[in-house]
Amino acid sequence: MFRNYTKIAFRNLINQKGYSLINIVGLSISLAVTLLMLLWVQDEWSTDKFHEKSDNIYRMKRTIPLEGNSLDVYNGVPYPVLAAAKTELPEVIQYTPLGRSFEETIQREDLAVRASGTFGNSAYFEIFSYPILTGDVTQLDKKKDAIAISEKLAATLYGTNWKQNAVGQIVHMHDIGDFMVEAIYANFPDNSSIQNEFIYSFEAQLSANDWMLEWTNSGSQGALLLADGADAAKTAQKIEDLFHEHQNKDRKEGILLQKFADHYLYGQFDEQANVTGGRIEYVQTFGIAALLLLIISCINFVNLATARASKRAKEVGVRKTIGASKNSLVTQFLIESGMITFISIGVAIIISKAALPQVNIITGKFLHLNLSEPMMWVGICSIFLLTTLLAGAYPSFVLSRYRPVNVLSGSITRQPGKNILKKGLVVMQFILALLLIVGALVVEKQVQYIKNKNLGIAKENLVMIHQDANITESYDALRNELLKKEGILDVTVVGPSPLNMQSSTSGVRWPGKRPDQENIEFQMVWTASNFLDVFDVPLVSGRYYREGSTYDTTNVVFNERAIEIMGIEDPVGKTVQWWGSPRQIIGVVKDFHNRSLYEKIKPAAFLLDSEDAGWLFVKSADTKVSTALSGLEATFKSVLPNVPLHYEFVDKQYEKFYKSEILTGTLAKYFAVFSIFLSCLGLLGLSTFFAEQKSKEISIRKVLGASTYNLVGFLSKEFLALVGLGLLIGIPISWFILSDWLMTFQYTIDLKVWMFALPAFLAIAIAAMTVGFQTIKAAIANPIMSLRNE
Amino acid sequence: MIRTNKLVKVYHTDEVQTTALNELDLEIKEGEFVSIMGPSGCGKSTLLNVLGMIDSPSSGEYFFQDEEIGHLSERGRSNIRKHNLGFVFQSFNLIDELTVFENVELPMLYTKVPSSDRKARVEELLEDMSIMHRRNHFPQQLSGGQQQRVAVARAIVNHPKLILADEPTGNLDSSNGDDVMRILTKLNDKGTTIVMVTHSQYCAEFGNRIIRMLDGKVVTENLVKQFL
Repeated sequence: MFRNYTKIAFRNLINQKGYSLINIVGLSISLAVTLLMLLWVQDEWSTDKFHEKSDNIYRMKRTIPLEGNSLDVYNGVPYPVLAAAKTELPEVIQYTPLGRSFEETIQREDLAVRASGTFGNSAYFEIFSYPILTGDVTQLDKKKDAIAISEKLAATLYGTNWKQNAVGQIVHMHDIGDFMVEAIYANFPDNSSIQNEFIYSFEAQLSANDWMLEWTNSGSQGALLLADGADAAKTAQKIEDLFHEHQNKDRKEGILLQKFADHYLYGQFDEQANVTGGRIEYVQTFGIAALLLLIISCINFVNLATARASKRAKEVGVRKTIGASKNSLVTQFLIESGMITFISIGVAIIISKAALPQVNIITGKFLHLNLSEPMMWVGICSIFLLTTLLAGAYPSFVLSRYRPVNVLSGSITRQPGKNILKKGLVVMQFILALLLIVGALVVEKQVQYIKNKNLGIAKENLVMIHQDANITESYDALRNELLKKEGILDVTVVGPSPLNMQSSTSGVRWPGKRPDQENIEFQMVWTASNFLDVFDVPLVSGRYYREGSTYDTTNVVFNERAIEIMGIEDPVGKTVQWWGSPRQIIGVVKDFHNRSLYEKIKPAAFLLDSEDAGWLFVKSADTKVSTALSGLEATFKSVLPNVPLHYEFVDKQYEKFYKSEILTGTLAKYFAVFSIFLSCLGLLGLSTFFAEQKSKEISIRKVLGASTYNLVGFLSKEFLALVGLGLLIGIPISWFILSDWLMTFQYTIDLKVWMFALPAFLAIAIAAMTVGFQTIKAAIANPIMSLRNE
Repeated sequence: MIRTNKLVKVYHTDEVQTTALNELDLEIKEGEFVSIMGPSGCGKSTLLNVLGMIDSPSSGEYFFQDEEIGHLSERGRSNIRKHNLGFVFQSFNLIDELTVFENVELPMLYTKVPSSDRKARVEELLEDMSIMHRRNHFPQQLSGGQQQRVAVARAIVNHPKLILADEPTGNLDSSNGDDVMRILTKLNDKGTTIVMVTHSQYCAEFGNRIIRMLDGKVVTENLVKQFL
């Protein structure tokens, strides 16, 4: 029987080429998109979940109470809290500090390579599943000059025999000093949110940064390994109690333990420090978008299958008459849809394989479509079953329901009122298509807005270079040389980047500071005296720092927001307490966006300290960027011949903050194109069948004097009415969803009528062309042919 | 074999009610060849559909081999159908996507006849019907007469006790019509009961008995030849 079913399915596939093609093309595209999206979702989902002790690894976070009982969650915690958690609480088995990864030049003899890494202890490798391939990683705890490096970095530095040659060798880190390679670990997997090519001794970090030992300095980050069965919330409370013992009584900060594996996807918290989302929202959005595309093509399948049901009715009638049960017919039609899905999945796998390199470029991932993995087949089979059921269940039900007596007496071909579902599905398709198109447009507009928004600070024609010890030492010489080069307008040092001020302090006191203002964090940035000139930031009052003035190191400059919060009138000349010492306010700079556009402008302080400023900024003339870059390279070669030059454009780096939004925008464009294509593919199929069904009516109308124009109108109006209805329903839905998305930003575009009207117009125009093609063909056909056939 | 008692079939459309069978009583014995005649709309085809269990009566009783069919589920009727009944239609109703061989084989798939037996039985029938040379052709590649012979082969492939034929010669020329009638007669001679609806007096006389219907009732019955 199965053979009979597959045979008839195959013959139908061949005999109904147009129908098969529409279904296979539509399903293949949407299945390929679904498959690729699933790969991406699976990759995101698996991030940080590969650690064997994943269930017991927690990231320690700090909560800060704000006005009105709300809480703010920060990753930074004081290092002593981490260490105390282990020594004081038996359920804390291990802890490790987590340093921010940074790029560094690592040199072995004449070979210098750029790699990113951080500091750590041996517990880092005990807690996380990063296997040690050779050497003794406990040396990180014993020796300040110990370093562990990745297999990849070892191979780069020591060639193919790294296993024998690397351990015991000295490498020079330009900014930190000399280290001995003590261990080599396997490369971190692609789905690790942390990527470190080197881990140097935490002891070295600690000895150079004694602030890390302060209970009040939250500049460290860390993770804990809890015992099996330990209650994370209770442990967090105990750690919080330890923390409070060492805190200022007015300042009650809390401790939160978040599963390390959740940190990557769930990075956003509400005002009560409950997880509200984060990257997971993008994963869900793209997962849903892929599912919507799959639904659109399944709707095509359902509509086409039910539209041509009358063609299969005779077969159903005959089969039932000679003894086929309803179940056997359902099975038969499900096998038919299964066969189309099967072929489409084959095509989809080929499309996915071909598109994967491009997808990896867009998503910045290393996704693989590995068909030898059993789990991959579990996924593919699940998609196969889901699609077969989504596409095949309803047509199978409709077809198997036919009563042979109706079919064989010819009363089945017309079923007035039975098209509601079909019409409903077309409407739904266009609701989904509009949602995806408007979504793509609005996301794109918001991304453009972010990219081009006047931040109040210059970011164009600026390159930034991480300032290591060599650069700091040679800064004056370097600056003098650079300023002689054509195209270079100015050079300065700032740290951290003023476009994303990462460091903050609550250690500012001013006259009249209220208790509820105790936890207000001021962003900090260390600058040189020419900061305002390089970044085109206007001064509102007072002055900025003077070059070479040692006196100015005890002064401070704030932005307008900081002054507003402190409520100081005529601030210039007034004094605030900065970390317990008085500092005079010498100037106020105009507000500029110092964090991402998800946040409001933060209060900020600008300090004079070119040695603590971590980045060198070089500003070039608008039209001479490449000349300036050549000058920059030449200067580095002459002043710092041993320091490799790595620079980054500030505007490009700024765009990285919005990687997810830019990715969303790019993918949304693809989804929009596919959705309208698939919806119109369905319309093409439906209008073809509609024209075929109505051929007799068209002929009679034509014989009675209808013009081609009348006939095209008669045939098209129903489809276009459905498309129009879909768009009308889709507009408020997409408005609601997109305004909700825009609310996550503090600074957004306004939703305009044209953003909905244009996609709706485009959708209806494309739909009209699709339907028009078929209807014109039907309208100009010779009526005699169709009447004779009758 | 067949007995009906006050069989009624009423069709309802939006505003119209049509009585196709009006308290019809009928008895057909095993081995009979009964021709049913009457003007269009008199209820012949409805009767055939009810007898063939592809339509159910609105009221009354229908006994097939002494079993009342009215209370049976669709599955039960389907079971009786596939083991006991064969259908021949005016418009042949072959499945276009299946070859001659596969069309004839189809009923045996539903009665789960083993593959080798199926092959032998289909070949035997195709030989009998003189269409063996067309076994791999599709219905559209055959003449009307050939298509009807395939349809007859399909109707008898499961050795049904009853064949229901609805205008089996209606779409055929006289020569092909004669062929089909001869085949039906031969089957009847071998003991298969046949109930045939026809407009043709000539064809009707191939049977043992002619029943004439009007307005959903049997109005006359004539014996053509003595049924033994």
